[in-house]
Amino acid sequence: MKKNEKNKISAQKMDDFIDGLLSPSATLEMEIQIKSDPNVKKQYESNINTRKMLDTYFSTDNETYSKQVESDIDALFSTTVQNQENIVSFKKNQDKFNERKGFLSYINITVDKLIPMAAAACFGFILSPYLFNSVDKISSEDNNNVYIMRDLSNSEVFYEKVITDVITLKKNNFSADNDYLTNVPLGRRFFMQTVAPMDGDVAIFINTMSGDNPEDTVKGDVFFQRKNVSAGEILIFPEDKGKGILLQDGKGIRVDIEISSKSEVLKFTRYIYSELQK
Amino acid sequence: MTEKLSVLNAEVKSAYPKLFKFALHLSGNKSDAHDLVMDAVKGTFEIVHKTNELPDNSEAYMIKSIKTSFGASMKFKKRFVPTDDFEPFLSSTDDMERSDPLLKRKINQALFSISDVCREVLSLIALGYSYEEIQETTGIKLNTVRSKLSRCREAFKGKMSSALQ
Repeated sequence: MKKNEKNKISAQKMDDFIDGLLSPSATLEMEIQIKSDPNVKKQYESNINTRKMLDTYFSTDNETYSKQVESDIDALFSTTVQNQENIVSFKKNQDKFNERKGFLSYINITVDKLIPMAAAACFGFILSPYLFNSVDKISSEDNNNVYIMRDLSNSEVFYEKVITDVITLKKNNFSADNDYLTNVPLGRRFFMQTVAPMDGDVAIFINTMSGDNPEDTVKGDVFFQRKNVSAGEILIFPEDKGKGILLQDGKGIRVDIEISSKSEVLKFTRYIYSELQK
Repeated sequence: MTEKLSVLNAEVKSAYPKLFKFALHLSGNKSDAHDLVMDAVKGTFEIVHKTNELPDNSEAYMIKSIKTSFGASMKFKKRFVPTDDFEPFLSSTDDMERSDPLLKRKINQALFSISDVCREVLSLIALGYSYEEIQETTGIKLNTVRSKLSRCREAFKGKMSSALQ
């Protein structure tokens, strides 16, 4: 041991001293050592400096959450509160839906591996309906009864509205024993949110349902596309926050989601009904 | 029910900067950090909704969730050493507050060159969590938390002194 390290105090003992965890006698002894021994004093000051440096670095005193974060948290809050009210189970509507297949039967998976299927089971939807006083139908011809709306009020007002009135489909709605469908009230604009289950390119197709039987409706046109999406990334569409999707005439929509990577493609389909189809 | 969720909503917002910074120093990526926090928030909202009980310590509960989610989904993901720019997730409430960006970068580098566990416990203690809360969130025994912290501070000091030379 070098001479100048002879009186060095162990790191833990020094920390305990700073944290006030030593006994009164040990504390007194340490205070004397700090005063009398330059090496111990240096060690003490260095330890204090390190703590201050880290405390300042991690300090959140002058930081707060952004508007975007506030909106995200409020959306999750509203989702939780309204979830039970807005999700309607097939099982509760047997009279109308008893001829329909379970939700899993509407999932088309082109890969035969179990793991990608489990990944698809984690693919979640959040439908976020927004109420608008005035709307501008900008593509009503594009997709039959699927309308893309633009809010005419200023974006700040819209931003406030994002946090209200959210319908959620939980991730586990995609599990095998589940038959949930979403009923979106007519006249309510909504957004959809997905969490990518794997890295790849995402494409979403939407078509208006032609009748009560989901299988009668074919895959629609491309509605949303994004390349090089990372697993776990949240995608909200339509991308333009001034727009939303509106169901009309009691008709639902068929939504096809495809995630393709170099080695595999996940595909599955979701049906979203309007309230009148309950 | 909604009342408890509202309380939690306010708690979550107030804790967000700390949760975000903790998640950032796990993931090394701002977007991943936000996702980790939002996953934890979602899980906590759902638990409260289901049980009608607020966790004893919501912050510690969410820190634990962040850690679990990170381990489950992002542990092996490529990381980027974060900068001191936290937009669009955090906003500064004091425009005049500007700490030395070079020093911040060096601290960043030093933190990301020590072990994950060290970075985790150092960030938690610097964010103001007690030894008991660190024990609760990391599962490390109380005495071990203290000794680990001491060792991690030494490791960090070593990296910092070489970075500053």
